[in-house]
Amino acid sequence: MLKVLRFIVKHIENISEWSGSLFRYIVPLLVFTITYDVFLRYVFNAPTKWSYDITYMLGGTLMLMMQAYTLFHKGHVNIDILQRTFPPKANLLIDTIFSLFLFFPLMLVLFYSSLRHAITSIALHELSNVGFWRPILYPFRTMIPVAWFLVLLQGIATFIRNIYSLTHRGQEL
Amino acid sequence: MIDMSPELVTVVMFGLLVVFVLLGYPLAFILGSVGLGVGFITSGLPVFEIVYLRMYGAITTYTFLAMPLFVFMGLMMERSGVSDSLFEALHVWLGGFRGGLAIATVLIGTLLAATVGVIAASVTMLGLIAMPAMLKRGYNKELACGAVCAGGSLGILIPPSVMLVLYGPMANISVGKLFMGAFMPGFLLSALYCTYIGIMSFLKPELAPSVALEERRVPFLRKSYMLVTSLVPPLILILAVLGSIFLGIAAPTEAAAVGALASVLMCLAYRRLTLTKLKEAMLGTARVTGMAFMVVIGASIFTGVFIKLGGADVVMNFVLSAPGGRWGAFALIMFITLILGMFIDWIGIILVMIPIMAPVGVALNFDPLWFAMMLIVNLQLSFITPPLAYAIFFLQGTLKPEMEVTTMHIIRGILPYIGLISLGLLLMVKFPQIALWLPDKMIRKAW
Repeated sequence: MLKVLRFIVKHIENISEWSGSLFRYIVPLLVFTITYDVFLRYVFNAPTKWSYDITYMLGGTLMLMMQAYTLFHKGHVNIDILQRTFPPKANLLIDTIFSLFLFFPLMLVLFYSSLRHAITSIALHELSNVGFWRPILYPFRTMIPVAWFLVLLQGIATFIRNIYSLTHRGQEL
Repeated sequence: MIDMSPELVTVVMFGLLVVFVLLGYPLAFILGSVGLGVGFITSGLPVFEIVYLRMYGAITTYTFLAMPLFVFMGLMMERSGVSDSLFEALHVWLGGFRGGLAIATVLIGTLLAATVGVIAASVTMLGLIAMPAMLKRGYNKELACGAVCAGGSLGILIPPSVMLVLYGPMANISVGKLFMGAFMPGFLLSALYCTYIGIMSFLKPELAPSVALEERRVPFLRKSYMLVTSLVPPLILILAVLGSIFLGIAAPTEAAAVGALASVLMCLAYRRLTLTKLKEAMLGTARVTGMAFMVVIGASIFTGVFIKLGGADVVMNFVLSAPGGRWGAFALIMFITLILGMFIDWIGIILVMIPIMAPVGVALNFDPLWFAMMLIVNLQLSFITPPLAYAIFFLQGTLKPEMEVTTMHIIRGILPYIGLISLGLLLMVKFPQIALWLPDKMIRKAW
């Protein structure tokens, strides 16, 4: 049983770590896409018609695909004035209980609603309507529930770790 | 479905926000969950659609993309080692004056501000470079800490600033205009800080002794070479980024991308570019982006529900009913911002407060740009006012035990700067042109 849990948690964390190392390469892609467009516009007076769509799709992917990685590395800001005065076990307990109503419902709703939109988008073969290039939009719409699913997985991994630590006197899983 | 009056919505939403934040749960999830929860109780399943639309809107806002790009530019600049060479150069130039190193610290903070734009990076860098140098030469600990915290915090105000990138879309003001508007207030604060340090070290020489002559006796040519090589490249970068916005050549997002590319080239020119550094900077960018945009998404859900349920009108009426008319209401807004700044980090304040407060500013007949500048200068206080003061956290992170600097030294050191920032705000009330003159001269104002 313990082995199975350890296996699951370890693999989820590997996925989160891997998503960070992979999707960081969106940063240079963004730099390239935008500077290339600026260059063409001013040097050849011929801006690309695809740059705008590609840019916001890359940007949105960066913002969401980084969430699981950031959660895994505990990169989210919080205030620890009161926490510092509590014993570590109490803090872990607060975090674990709070995640049940401040984390999981929100992530489930984000996942569920974006999944519905992704399915509709695929069924309609939706096209982007913000520029005049009008590329297919459904790959971007599909990325969104995938990203939130990864966040949910990482949330579950952290939750299992916390529960184990709480029930085994602070031991790591 | 439970009917809630707008007044009740306001009290419940902000009440829950404060309680959970104080208990230490991450702000981003609290914002989103409180929005979702209150929305679900009052309007049921349709709130799922609001959640999706607010999230989708947040991640597809083109202007927001300037943020990861500027962060990347800053991280590359940090790795180029330009701040070390700059401090060395200013050390030999200004070391002879009393308080010269502290003034050098603020000046580097001001310049770094223009290239880095992320407070963590500025304060950490100054803490690592300037703190040991000042303490070694017998500078007063409070004075040294104050200069590092205040100088480092300027990064978030002086453009290109990540804070303004988030502010623009929230208040429907062009980010380019905000950049130009923040320029002079930023330099005003910097000048106030330097003057303060100069006066203090003149009155009490033991606070900041001048550096021994042997240590700063460098031939004039060598001295000038040091200054030019460390000052000119970052200045070119800043001028290229801000100049192209000012002249209307590029939108902020485009200028940010060009700046990011230029920062990589600058690293190459300083012979500091390696693949590892590049990959580290990308991951660093990605992590800041992940953190910041979860707050953006959470806050978008929160304000979306809050405004839909009529909470914004409650806040508006509350502020407008303040005694003392227009300026009384304005003072109340500044006070609320100050108090929130002590507890909530700046991304949260910008994203929660601005959609609610910007219309109040318009209703009070204040220039939106000036109003924005007053708020962001006020937010400078949020970095240095405990209990949640980023500048203090980051400085603490760089301190070594043998320096014997305690949190109390830091807090005492930054107290005077609270007065200086307030003085800056008063000057901006008296002379609104400080914020409004430069944007007025822009070639293309739409950006």
